[in-house]
Amino acid sequence: MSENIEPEFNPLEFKESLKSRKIRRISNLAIKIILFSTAILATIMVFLIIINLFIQAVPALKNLSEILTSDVWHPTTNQFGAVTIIIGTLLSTMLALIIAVPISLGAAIFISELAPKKIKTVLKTATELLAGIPSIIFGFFGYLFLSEVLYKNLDIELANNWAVASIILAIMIMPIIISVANDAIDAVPREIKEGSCAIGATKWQTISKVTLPAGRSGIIAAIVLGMGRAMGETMAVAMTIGGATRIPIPITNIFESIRTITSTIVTEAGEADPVSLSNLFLLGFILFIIVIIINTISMIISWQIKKIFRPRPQKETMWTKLKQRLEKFKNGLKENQVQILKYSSCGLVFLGFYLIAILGVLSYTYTWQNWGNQFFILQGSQIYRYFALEPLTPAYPITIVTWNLIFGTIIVGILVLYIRFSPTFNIHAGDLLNILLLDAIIWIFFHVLWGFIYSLIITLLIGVGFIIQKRLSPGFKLSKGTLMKIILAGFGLWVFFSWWGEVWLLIISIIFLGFYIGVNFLKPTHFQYVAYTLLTICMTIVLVALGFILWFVFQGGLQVFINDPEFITRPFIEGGGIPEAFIGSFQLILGTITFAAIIGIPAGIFLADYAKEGKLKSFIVVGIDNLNGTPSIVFGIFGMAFFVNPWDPTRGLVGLNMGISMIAGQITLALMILPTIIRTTEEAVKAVPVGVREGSLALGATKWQTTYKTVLPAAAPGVITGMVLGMGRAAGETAPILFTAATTGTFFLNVLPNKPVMALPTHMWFEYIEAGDESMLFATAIVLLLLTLMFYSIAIVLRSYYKKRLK
Amino acid sequence: MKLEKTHYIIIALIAGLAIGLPVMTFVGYSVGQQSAQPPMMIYSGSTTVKPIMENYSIHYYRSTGTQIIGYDVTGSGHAPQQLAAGVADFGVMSRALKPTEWNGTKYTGYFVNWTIAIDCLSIVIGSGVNATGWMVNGITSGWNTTGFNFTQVQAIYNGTAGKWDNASWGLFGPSQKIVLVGREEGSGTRDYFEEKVLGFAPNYDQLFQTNPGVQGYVSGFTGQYAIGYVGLGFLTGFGNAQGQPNVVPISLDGYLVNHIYPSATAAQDGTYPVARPLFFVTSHSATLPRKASMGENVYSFLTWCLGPIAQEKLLGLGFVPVDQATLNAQFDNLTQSW
Repeated sequence: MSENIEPEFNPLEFKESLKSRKIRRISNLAIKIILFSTAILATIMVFLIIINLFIQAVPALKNLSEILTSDVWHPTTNQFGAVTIIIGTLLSTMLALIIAVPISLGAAIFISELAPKKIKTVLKTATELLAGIPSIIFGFFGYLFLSEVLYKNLDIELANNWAVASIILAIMIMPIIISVANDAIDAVPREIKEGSCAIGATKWQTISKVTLPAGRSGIIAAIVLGMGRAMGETMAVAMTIGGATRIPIPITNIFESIRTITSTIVTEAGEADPVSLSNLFLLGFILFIIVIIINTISMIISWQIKKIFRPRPQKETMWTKLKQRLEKFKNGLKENQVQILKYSSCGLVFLGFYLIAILGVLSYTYTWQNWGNQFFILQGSQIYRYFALEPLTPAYPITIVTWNLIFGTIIVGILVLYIRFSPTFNIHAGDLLNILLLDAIIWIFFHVLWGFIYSLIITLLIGVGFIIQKRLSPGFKLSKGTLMKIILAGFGLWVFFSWWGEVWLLIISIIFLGFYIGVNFLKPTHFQYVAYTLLTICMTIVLVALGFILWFVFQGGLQVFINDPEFITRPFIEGGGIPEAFIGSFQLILGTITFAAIIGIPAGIFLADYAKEGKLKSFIVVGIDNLNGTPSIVFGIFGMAFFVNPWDPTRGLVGLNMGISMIAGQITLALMILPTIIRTTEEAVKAVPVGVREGSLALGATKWQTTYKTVLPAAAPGVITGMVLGMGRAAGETAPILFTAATTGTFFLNVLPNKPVMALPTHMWFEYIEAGDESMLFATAIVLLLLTLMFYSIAIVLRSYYKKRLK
Repeated sequence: MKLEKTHYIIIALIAGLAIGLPVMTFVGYSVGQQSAQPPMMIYSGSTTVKPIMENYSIHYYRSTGTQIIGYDVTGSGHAPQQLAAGVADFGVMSRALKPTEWNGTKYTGYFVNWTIAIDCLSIVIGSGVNATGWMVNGITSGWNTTGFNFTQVQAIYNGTAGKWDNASWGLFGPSQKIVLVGREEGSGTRDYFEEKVLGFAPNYDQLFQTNPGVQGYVSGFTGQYAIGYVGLGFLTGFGNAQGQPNVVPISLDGYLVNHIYPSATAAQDGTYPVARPLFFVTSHSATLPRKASMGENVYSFLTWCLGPIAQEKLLGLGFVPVDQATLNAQFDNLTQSW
């Protein structure tokens, strides 16, 4: 039996311990506050950017209606109609998505489902590496190679055009879409795939029917993310898009020169007078708001992914109640009634859309006073001019068409997505066809004169559509008679639309026909064969496109390295050397990473260790994610307005008066890479095993001591990986430093933080606009490419090494 | 999990760089502060003159050690404004001072403008137009016999002519769309061209941000059917391997023979219509002589600008030097009092 020895009570010691506890508590609180304030900073910055852009845009707000309705953009005479610019932004993004989404989804499926494990790692690494190619190099490739090749081989008039810009954009957003979609597909639980295979489905059937639907939210998030990136992309677009303030006639003329918000800002902000600058800020503000909305949608979708595979009992909310009621209502209906409801609701939406469009047309007519053309449009079939190959008249008012098209696309898109994914309605391909035809009929409703015969034929076709849909239930075999009907319908469509010059709908009808025939005559293994081939083609396209860009840059610049290697050390003013730009880039990167690490690492620690799950944390996370998606040009003009400009509220300038200087550029870049640093730090800290922390805490260390002495050293490689990634991103960015830190040329190396510097990407940009020596541009591009890829590959190597060690 | 040596090295490296840079910059900054700052001049005003000033600043810094830095270089009107505010040491303008600006009614201060360069725009067309038997007004092809009148240029730029073979406008080129090339919004060159030649704002097909950008496009393969405008200095050095010009300058007189082509002499004596002087603006007091009141630094830079070294550089920058008579008159003028 051991004795129970009561410790003697020592009042002095007790007081001491109380005191030290108090100190501990206070210091812990102080640390927590400091960490919190760094974490909240990113969110504050988002608001600051919004407010600052808005303040700068206030003088332009009075002509907001002009910006949104007029198509005359001529700052010299104070005409700021941005319709063409906004539409150009949407058009270029749309085409880029049309090109990029199928290819990158194919590639993503290839990487996650088809590729063997070793190749999978290689491909993943390659796509990550390729995401690091600076935008200016894509632009460089576009204007030096792609535009020229297209001009030579296709019979087009303008070398720099929408198609070139969109193809470049598509190549740029492919790695982003691939990596996010890849994660989404990988996240689908293995069990459900195995279940599908176990009941006898082929691998392709499993992919298309089980894996993709299960991972659809992630895939949509990837597409939306790519959309945000494409919309905010600046330099590559500005170099390839042509810059005309117009809307293509017809709208499918992808070889027309257009412009985007970003290209307008980057070409004009440098030398704009205060009035036009304010209008540019308004454009930037509009862009930022659009991108924030897109990013938020993407975020919400990605959050839902996490919930999908962990179903929780649903809370009774108004929404669920409404859903239940809808479900009850639907269950009480007969099949016919459901159909009627489905189609009539679609019809109502379309009707609303056309009413809005017609109202828009009418209101627009007053301002434009183009009665003759208006009359013509309302008489004729509008669908013709949307997609026709030849316009009827060159003086056709473009805005109406485009507004209609954009509204139409958005509404049809939302509708199709809603119907596709809504729990109450199941829609088949036949329904889609019917909706398309319904669309046409409402169209016709507004074009009575021309539409009479049109409507008769379309009504017949709708009948055919219904027949098709009724008959194509599972287990039903297509009889020869029905097939003949379909072919006849297709033929009718062809006759009809070729008569109207309507190729677009012909293509769609062919696709539908192919779909029906394919579903009914081919075996699943045939499909798998075709699908795998297509997936492999997609992957090849991605690799070849990106590899070709790399090869293009290297073949062009290698000669300079051989013939004139001194250009790396020769001063800029003595024949276009790049030492100042190279060192300037390093100065910018190092300053950037310093600022970003000071704010970002504590913020990451806060999010991982200190923040409690709740509204505040999600508020911070939303802020960080939005900062991450902010277009680089928005950072650029924000930096110009907030850091560079002087403080002079009488002239509407509310800046910190840093002047165009290295430090302004560093801070702007730091803001841009802050999210990367925060998120990687957070992940690295979270990855440290709980046992390590508990051990430290059990020994009596405070929370901060644990974090500082135990967790942080263990997480260091992860944090460093994030920093290196951030450095790579900072090295390649042009737009943020163009108006904050960059100078066209300098005659001495700058070491002062308050003086402008040269940097590699901006040097390339200035050389491009001055039509400088091409071989020199190539050589600079190689240096820039190697610099950024170096950072990215270091990060990738570090991470894989770190991952191995964790195991 | 234990940290290895390599990790410490990496951490130390990054941390060293991260800490070292601010320290270095701070040291550099303080050293820079202590050492005598080189004399500095600030100018404001027109964007058109900005490329000249940027180029001059390099050479002037090399020869004298004086830095020349632009501030608020966004428009001619800002030159007297910033001079009056005392921010700028001198101004640059693409138009002459208005009476209200120099006689003290709008701003306190008296300003004088000095012609330091001439801006002369040349209309250029691509090689494809020239190669296929380019004719104007029925005159045989050949780039040195081509000319437009203002009405034709206006018809081309507002889209009425449409194609290069539109005979009703006196065009007999290839049956290709005329690609309208121009400068970005806010460019002084574009504003001047639209104001002087067109009288309206055209709907350009392709926009570029600099004179060499336009020149590069129009002289290249992709711009073979293009028409654009560049500063006169950018016409030098054109030509392919066969010695034929890639870009054809167009006279703007509308005569059938003996065209007046854009050239330095034609710009100087005013026979070529699309040329304008560019100005250097100085601030004076009503009592002191000019040299004293504009300041020693500004005076020496102005005399340098009017001198032969600076004038010779102008052609390379796309501008035309000022003729000797005007220069001499201005040198005389410099010695006078207000």
